[in-house]
Amino acid sequence: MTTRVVARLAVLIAVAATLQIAEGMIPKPLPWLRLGLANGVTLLVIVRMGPGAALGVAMVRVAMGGLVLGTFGGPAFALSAAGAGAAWLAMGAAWRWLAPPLSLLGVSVLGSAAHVAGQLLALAVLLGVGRGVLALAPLLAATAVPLGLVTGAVILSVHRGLPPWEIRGTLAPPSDR
Amino acid sequence: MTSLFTPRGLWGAMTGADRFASVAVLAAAGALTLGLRAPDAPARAVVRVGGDVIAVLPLDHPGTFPVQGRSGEVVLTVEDGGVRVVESSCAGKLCIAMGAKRRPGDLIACVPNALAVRLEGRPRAGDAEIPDSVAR
Repeated sequence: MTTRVVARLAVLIAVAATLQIAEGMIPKPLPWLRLGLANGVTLLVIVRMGPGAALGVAMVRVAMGGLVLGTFGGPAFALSAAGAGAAWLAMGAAWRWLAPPLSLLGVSVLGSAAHVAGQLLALAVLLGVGRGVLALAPLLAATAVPLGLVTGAVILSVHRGLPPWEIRGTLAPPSDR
Repeated sequence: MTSLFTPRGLWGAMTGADRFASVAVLAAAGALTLGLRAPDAPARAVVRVGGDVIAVLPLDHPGTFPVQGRSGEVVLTVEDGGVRVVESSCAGKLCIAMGAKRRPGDLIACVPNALAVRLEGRPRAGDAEIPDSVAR
């Protein structure tokens, strides 16, 4: 791994952690809703650097967020990790095998839905309510679609606006810029 | 290229598969809503911390009930046939924002306290015996 790649990963982790922490502070009409821009960074890394780097960025970001917010190791941290892990798995698989026909927007929607599913699964286990968590599922699944689309649109714009990155020490094909 | 940040621009940027995936998730949400509808009135609120039942509150007995969660105290109020969290030691207070719950199957969760309050509607053994066909 070149110094350049290490530095890039560090910046991406810092951006993702900052977004995760900041999203929790923004007042929202429904307080448990999140736009999911931190998961959007996972998607950007999947697209530009591959799923392995994305998993690393997502997990270090979740750990940093937990340490800053004081939830590290607690139930809220487990929920955060379950959501981030499920979103990574869904987006990584969808980008690898379903894109195309899916674009980055559809992959983002699936990641958003998987994030909800992962969190509900963690809730079911942590709180011992089993299938009772399904009571929360309809609202969360319905909001996952618009939120996933907006996140996807942001990440698509960023992806289009950035020059190609070198991967594993070799420069990506030269771009026009 | 039109902006991604207008509804029309976003819709135009989506592939057919993107649209299908979005509609499928929305349809799943709708199906869950319909599948979870339970017309009978809830009888009690079951309070769990970390999966262990610590209290069962009959909803026809109004009152205020402090319970001990994982990170501190949580105060529940039973009134008007529903239950809600009125105070909590947690940071986010999402449990309070979830408001009063009145339907069977409804759930209030306070994650930092590992606390879940679930409304259950089916009569227990020993309650008046009402066959499902009548209760519905």
